Amino acid sequence: MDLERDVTTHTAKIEARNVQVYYGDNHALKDVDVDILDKTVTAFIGPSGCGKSTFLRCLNRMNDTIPSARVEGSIRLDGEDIYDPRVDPVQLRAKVGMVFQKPNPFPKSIYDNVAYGPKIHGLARNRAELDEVVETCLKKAALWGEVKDRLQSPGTGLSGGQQQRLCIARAIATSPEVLLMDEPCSALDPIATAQVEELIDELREQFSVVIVTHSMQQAARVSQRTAFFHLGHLVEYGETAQIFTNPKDPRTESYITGRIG
Amino acid sequence: MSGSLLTQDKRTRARNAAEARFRSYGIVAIILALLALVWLLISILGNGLPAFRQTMLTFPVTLDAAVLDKADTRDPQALAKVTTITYGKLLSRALSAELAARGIDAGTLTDKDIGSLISEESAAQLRDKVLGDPGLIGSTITFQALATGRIDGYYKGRVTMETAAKDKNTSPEKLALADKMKDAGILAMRFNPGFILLPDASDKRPEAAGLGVAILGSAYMMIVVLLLSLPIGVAASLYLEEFAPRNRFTDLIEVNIANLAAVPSIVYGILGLSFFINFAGLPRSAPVVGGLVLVLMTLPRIIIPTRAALNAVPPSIRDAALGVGASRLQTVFHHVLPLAMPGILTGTIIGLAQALGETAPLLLIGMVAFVKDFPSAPPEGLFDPASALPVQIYNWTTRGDPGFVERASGAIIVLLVFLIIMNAAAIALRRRFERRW
Amino acid sequence: MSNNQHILRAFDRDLESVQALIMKMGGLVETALSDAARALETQDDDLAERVRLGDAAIDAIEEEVNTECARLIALRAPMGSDLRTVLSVMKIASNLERCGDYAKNLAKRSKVLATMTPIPGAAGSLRRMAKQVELLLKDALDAFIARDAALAEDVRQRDLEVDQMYNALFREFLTHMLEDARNITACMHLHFIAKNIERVGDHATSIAEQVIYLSTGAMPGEARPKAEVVTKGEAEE
Repeated sequence: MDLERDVTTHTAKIEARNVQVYYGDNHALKDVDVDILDKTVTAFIGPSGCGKSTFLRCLNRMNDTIPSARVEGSIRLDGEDIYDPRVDPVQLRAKVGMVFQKPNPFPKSIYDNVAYGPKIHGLARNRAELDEVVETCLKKAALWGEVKDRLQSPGTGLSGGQQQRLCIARAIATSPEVLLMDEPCSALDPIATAQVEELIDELREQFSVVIVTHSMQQAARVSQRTAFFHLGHLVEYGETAQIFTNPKDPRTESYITGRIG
Repeated sequence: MSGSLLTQDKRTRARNAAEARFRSYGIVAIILALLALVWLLISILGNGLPAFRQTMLTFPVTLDAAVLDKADTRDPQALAKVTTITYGKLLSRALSAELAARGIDAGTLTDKDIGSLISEESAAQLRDKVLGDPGLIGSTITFQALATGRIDGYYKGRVTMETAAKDKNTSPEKLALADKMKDAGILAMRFNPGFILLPDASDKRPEAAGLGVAILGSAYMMIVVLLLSLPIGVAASLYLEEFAPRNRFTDLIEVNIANLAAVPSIVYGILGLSFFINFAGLPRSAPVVGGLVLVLMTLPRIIIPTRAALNAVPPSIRDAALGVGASRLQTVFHHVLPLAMPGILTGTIIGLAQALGETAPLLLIGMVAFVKDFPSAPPEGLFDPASALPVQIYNWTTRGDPGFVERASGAIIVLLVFLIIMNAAAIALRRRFERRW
Repeated sequence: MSNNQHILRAFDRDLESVQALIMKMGGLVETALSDAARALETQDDDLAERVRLGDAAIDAIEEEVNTECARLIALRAPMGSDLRTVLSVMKIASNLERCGDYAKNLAKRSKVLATMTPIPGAAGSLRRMAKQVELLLKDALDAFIARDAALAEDVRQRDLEVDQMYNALFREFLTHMLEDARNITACMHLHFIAKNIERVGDHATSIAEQVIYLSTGAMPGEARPKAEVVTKGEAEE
């Protein structure tokens, strides 16, 4: 086995136990147990409506914004239950950043997009520090070279791939520990997708990355561990290489080989 | 499915014909609408534009101290005792003297008849001028006096020799004299700033009636409406759209807001009358009451477009803000509100424009009263009696003297100009805000 | 379930056609082997020549299988069992191609042997051995089509018999050579033939292992049974 891909030694960053999610009367997610490892890319795959995005949104409590959503079970980030009543979801989301399906930069300048998070969380004491944070994050997002001469031009004027990398820069600007990505490349062309995937692979050195994707090839390319969701169940979770060459569960097999399952 | 593409089959021809018919209906409808608009503009402009020009008599007046200040003390109290009748006589004599000096034959007309060509309002204006500057007494000034409505009407085509013969207020001789004065340069049509600046005048003096009080009253009301309905409306919309839980109670509120927007405006007038005047004891005819009534009326009309504008902000922006750890409030004020601003401002200005043109509720709270004195500066002025533009228009159209038809049309032009300015401001604001993003 | 059809039916057709190629190739190899063994026994030069020429067809099919598999991987991105099928097909094709080469070599040597003094009993023994190997090959391919890991395991075990037959023949040829030095050339040829047939058996085993990988996802772990080595240096190459 490729040493770089061997992540079995990494510790668990997020431990989810017996997680149930309901939307009103609809039991959307059933008995999910997952350990998300630190400094690892974990991919969630599965057919539409299988609950993978729902579970992703549980990890930073984005489901709180949906009034009918109800989450049971325990999700622990570094051993702390994120659904504890004492936890402020706003604080949690600074620790668990999120990148969305459609690139959604704020209709502000490139600089302001990245600076927004540090500003509201008070992560920079003065303008110089803020400049530095912006530069670092844009460099980490592999966007600095392309935008350094036009930081004040609107972020919405960038190409789709650049916008998505800007969103990643914005997400990592709050120094999160976990980065959630909800189908980050579904609106991008293959070249932009490759750039974002390369970026994800680099981010693995500092963050625990969880990515929901419809593209099995993408899951195979970027992740070290893969979880397959089906009809609200976590069917199989394991090493990506194993899931894609020799899945244990026949439902996983049917799904990844493109059979009716 | 065979057949050449170069020839149309029957179905295609029928479909194309239906489409062409539908298009022609649309064009006809638009042409009809445009014709109606053109007709409106022609009739309003045709009737109203003359109101901005007024027939004036220009002649030297000697402010004889022996007449105006018998004690020769220039004591303001003594001066104030001299009535407009004295000033009227002074003007009559001055005009007669001027005619004589120019060698114009007044025919059978007496000094009094000659004086009746001058508007009674002019005597008051001259008196105000003298009281304002007593130093003028004793000197000879060149005074611009308004001609009466009949003479004005003669030059605007309302009055002819034939109608004058049957009119007890004027006579063909007077009109003939006016013609002679016009030839001599004493009488002329001039731009009339008084139409915008002067207050309303009595039924007999259409030539002196102005929109000053009405414009000021409307402006005061708009200030009240803007200051109250914008913050309240936006706050209510924000709460309902971004914070309120979705339950039966908020549903009820939503339905009621939609219904309130459809309530006839006169109902708000009754509400204002019973609540603000009878219950709260606020003064009648005051812009503050009119403004409050209009606030009630405008609120749902601001809330509905504001909520639509908030709703139109893509959820991805909210997600993005929440995703980087912004709080609900930060999300709303940093991202959602600025994006919705163009829509909110447009809705607000359109709501204000509707309020500006509203007549019915103002009639009920007494703003139809005849007000000759300007309200003072705000905030006290908000409680002084005032009129409002649409009410003034309504008021003038009910008056007998045909001179007021022209005044009413002129006032409509002023109102339309204000509405156009407001709508242009709405468009400009929207453009400006949109360009920023 | 995995025996269900793909949502994209063209994928199924592609997979089936590439497996059909393997079966066709297997059939050709089996025929070539049995024809070569018969040509050796009956000293039929014409038959041997036909076997020699027939190898080109086998090579062509291998080429076709490789092209098809490359196309499948590029266009269909197979995953899971599909991926294993494609990988197995490529390996099996390469195994069969080697078997074809051995049959061709057998045919060539049988033409040479026809000009020499025959070694009594050798042709018959070789033919029995070839028959046994043919059976192994056939079973391995049947196991492939049926995804039958048990049959494949059986093939793996039965390769032992082939090894034992080879060892017996080896000693026999050694005896003939010790008896009469003039037999050496013929015996060397016969020994190479025996060795080649034994190698075909090894390839059949390799195919069986691919079948086990294909159906279970793991290569068989424990070492397969081996006949004891005959002489030093004669062990596994």
